Amino acid sequence: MGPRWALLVAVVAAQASGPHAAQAPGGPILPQPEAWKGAPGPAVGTAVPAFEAPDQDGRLRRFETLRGTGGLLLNFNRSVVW
Amino acid sequence: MCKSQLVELARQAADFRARGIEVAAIIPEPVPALKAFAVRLGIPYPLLSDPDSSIIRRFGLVDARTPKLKPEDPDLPYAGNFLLDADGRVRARFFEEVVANRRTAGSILLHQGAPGSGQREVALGHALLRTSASNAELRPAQRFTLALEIQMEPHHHMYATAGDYRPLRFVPDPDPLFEFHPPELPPTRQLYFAPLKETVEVYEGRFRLLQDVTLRYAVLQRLRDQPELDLPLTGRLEYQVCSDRVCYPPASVPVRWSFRASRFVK
Repeated sequence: MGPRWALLVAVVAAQASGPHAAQAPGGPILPQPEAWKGAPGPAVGTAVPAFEAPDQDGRLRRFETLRGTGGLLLNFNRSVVW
Repeated sequence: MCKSQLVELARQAADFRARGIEVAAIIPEPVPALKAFAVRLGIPYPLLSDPDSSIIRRFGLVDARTPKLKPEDPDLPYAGNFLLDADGRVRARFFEEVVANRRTAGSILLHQGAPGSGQREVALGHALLRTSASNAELRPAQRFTLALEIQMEPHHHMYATAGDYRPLRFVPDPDPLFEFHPPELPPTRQLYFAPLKETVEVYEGRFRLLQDVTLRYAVLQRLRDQPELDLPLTGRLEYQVCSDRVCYPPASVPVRWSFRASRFVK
């Protein structure tokens, strides 16, 4: 008999798991495995601390006035100078 | 390197907004510095000033690894991103263990299901391969993402598990400038072959393999002589296609992406 894959009759016992293709926008945020498991800061699933700070135009901002209907990407960075 | 991230985030802000996600950054510097930067580089999203690092501290993000230039300087944060849902809960977070490395906002978007840029199509036997990437332009030490999206013809599939069939695998060509991370493979279905009494994991329909890559910091040396560098990234996709009745020989197809690397934003 040739290679086992050469002639096959398949009986499909499908388990439903949706294809992971490019998604249309507006859906919920997909969970993402962490590259660095020991990373600091609030863990996935927890709420971030409340915060309020002025933006570059001097306007006080906090989460409720920053977020969109789908959420917020909050970036922490070290400097705009060096 | 931080400025490069904020500029790259500016490029992706509209795509985040199209998904209902707003964008903001927190930086331990005073408002005038943030304003000057925002005007100079055209930053369209809020830059929040945290000059005494109180927010950074409250988030538990003080990075003690990097020593301060002067004791009176603010505490620096770990550089990274949180994806928060509308209730303020962390749904995903992106921090790099290597101090210099930074994930691009484009990579975050791609992992959220957005299509990549620079799409190329390759016809495979009974399938169509589309390759793209999270970013076309790169800076040193950035972590970006390659997408290999496959659309199978109906009643045809590819394999996930090694064994008698060649599993789907992206094999990059070794390159000292690129660090390849473990790939993110799509979900599988179980297929039962009665004559051989075996169950295999297969991919069918439309699915994507995502490959994170870090452009090594060392590329900076090559950028000393020229401000921009064209960087090809090559490899091959290994796979095997079977239908409900018959299997085709294991196959392999070359794949390539093109990037433009440049120095850090000044």
